[in-house]
Amino acid sequence: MRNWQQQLACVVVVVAAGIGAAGAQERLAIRAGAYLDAEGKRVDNAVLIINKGKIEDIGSDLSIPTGVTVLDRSHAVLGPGLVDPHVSLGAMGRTAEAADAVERDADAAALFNPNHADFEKALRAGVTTVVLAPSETHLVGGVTAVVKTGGDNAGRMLGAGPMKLSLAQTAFNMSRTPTSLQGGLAELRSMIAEAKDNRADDSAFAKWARGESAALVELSDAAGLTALAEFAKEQGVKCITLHGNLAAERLDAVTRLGQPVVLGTYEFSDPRRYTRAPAMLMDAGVPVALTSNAPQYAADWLRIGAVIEMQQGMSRTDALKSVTTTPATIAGVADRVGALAKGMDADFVVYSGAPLDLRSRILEVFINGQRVYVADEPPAKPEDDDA
Amino acid sequence: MRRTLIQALTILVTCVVVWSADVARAQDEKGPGVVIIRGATVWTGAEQGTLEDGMIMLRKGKVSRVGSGGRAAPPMPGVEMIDASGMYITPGLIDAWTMLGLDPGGPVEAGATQNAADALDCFARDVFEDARRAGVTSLCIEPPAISGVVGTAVVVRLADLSDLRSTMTDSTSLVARLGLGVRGPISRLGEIKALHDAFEQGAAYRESWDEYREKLEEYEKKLKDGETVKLKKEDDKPEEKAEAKPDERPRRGPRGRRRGPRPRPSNFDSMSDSELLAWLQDTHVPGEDPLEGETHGDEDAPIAPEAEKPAKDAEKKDDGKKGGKKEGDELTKPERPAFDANLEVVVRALKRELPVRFEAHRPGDIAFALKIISEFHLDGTIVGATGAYLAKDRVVDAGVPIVFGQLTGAGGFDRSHTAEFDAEAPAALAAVGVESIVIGSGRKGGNSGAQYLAQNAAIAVGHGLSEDSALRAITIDAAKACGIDETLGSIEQGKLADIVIWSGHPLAPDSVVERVFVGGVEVYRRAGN
Repeated sequence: MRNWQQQLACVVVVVAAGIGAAGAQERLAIRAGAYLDAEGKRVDNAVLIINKGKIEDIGSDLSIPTGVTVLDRSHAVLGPGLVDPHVSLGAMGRTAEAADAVERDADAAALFNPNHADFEKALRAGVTTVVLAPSETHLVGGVTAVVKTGGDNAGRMLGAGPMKLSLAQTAFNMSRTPTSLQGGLAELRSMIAEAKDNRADDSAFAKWARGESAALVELSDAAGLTALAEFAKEQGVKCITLHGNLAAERLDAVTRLGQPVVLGTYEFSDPRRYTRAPAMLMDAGVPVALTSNAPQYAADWLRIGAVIEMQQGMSRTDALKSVTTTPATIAGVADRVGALAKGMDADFVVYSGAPLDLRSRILEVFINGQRVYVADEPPAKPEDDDA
Repeated sequence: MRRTLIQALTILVTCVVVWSADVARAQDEKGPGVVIIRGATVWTGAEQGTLEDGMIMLRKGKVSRVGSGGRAAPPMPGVEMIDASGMYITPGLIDAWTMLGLDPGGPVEAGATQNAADALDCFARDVFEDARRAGVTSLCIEPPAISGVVGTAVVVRLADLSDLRSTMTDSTSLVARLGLGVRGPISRLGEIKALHDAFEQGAAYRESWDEYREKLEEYEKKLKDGETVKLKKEDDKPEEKAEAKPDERPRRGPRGRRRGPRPRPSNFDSMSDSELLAWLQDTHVPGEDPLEGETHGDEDAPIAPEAEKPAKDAEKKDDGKKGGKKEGDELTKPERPAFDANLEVVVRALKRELPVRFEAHRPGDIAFALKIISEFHLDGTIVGATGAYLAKDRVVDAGVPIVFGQLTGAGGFDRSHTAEFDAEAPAALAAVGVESIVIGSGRKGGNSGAQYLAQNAAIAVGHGLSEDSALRAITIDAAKACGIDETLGSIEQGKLADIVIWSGHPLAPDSVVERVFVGGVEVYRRAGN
């Protein structure tokens, strides 16, 4: 028994040491070889000063106040934690309510299971903030929840994200109404009219109906995209399309919506007619956010997706924005996450090289100034150890 | 200082002279013109390592020279000089495991005689073009079926895309799969047994044929010896000798079976029924129609009618003299085993004429595949191998190449077999001493990740593999795993000129392919170049 207690004590100490490197103190400074600024530009000789989980200051060769613990990461590059605007981490298979096509007041926050192993996988992929979303099987799926993937549970829930709607084919089936895209749009039309009529309704849906906020609208085909563009104009609602992989072929519809779009998952096997869409949209002035749809696909596809886009001709800066600031804006938390700048949350990833270079290893991940993930030493040949 | 300068100049001049001589010779030749690419960083994948300010000469479809000092090279008449300063050159990438361009429609059969070439979508030209513009010049395409011995893979070299058949190389390998689930035998145990059975049946089949051939040889030999003796005796009978010259003895089929219709007695037409019956019984050989001559067996041997008569008669007489001794029984033809086209292919694998690729993912399945490889002494490779890092010791001991596919968790396809996947697997295996680590694009019908093969390798670098190993994994080591390393996979004098010019490091995220050469012919050039 005593032995057991001793072991427990040991474990507690080890765990505390693991998390505590940064968390124990209010202020912490990190020196790094470089960091990526809010514009995605590389700034050498980076110094990052963290105070109470926020970035107190960041810049090149800043002087570090005395008495502040300094972590030396001069061999590494700091990048902002990645933001994924559409996941169901820890909630796979629990985001659908089969009986009803409309779940106006469902709240994805109820799905948040902070200890689920999916979050650890997201951390390993450099993803620090995600939008938990109801599934695409509902015309109106409910409100999304914006959460962090690690750190103290108290600081992990950032709040409600946009509404999630769906005009995907899977939203319509013969066992409940509406059964078609046309029926779905008709139903939305009457719901919007009702919400506009009832000024006292301050639900997320009503706010969207009155044009006060944007909603994520999942699509599965070009017909849905074209219909949505007309519908949004008619109703004066803001729609951020999701998964409109053929967006490049319906550029006019997307530009008419006047909102950012969410595209992905992009995999190595995706044909160019899909993967070229983000670069084309960016050129047309439409901001693009990428998503991994984790855990249906590995969370790593977010960062890899950005590299796929660079291979398709997107600039390094635009590619970085598509996995940081643009999704943060869509989630409504751009004032807190998505960039390394004064006053933002200290959510960042320590890379062995350029953040959007797949050859770079993700060494550490920090959330709210706390170290939440440390990579193991990479496998190396025994000879290398001797050398 | 001055001396070194003179030395350098001497070397340079020598180089230029030697290279110019090559050019002069080449100008008279037909085929693709001479191309010199200079100034780039050249990753050769061979003993020369990485050359700064490299110079490569492509001639007659091959790499004729590789060296340094490219920038100083003067222009030569009749030669296309490409200035690639600041760029990178690698061998054409080889995707050692893909299903690119397979017709996505319909179910597919499994069986050793199935060939991935037959499943190629003849309209898939665009996906091959996408692969080529990403620097991939050769691919090993596997047949798509799910379980057991599924067929043979083909290696396609992306030269002329208007005729995919013409781009195939001679290199093939047999593909077997286990643990992929859904369409195989119901239980795992059943699947493992079925795969083992496939090779065991092949081994038994091979044995029965070997035995048959041995017996047949013996039979033939005895038959021949007997005839020689008999023919000598028959020399005394002039009337028969005239009828059948010994030199015109009937030739035999490759497997020694006697051919041609049986000679009829001179009184055949006037025989009574009972006489005919007696003759028939007397001369009956199982499996043959005495009235029509040979009707069974090989079709490949020439038929020599009537010619066998004396030998046959003599043989019979001889047997008679020996009083029906046992020798006659020994001379019954050995029974030919049934032919099985599928097992014929398996036998080629058992003889190591055909390499065998086992796609297996779970450590247990990999261990079983390794067991089959060692039990049947196969020239084996493990493909897929997502869980190979969990069976490291076995994999090292087996010394077989390991071919990985997509290094990040697959979506869409049944993910159960990738559940244990870890992108550190290539590095983990390299660390314990697995020599041949290959990275392909993996199983995805129709489109595959071939178009991002280099980035897939970059992921391995991000998870601990060295850059050099990662480049080897998509070039020379991939060529070895596909059996084409004699001619492809590295930039070496005498190898085929499949070359890629990159704008930057081939594994960097913003590098693009500037030009691709296959067999010394430019097959892709980036727009604006």
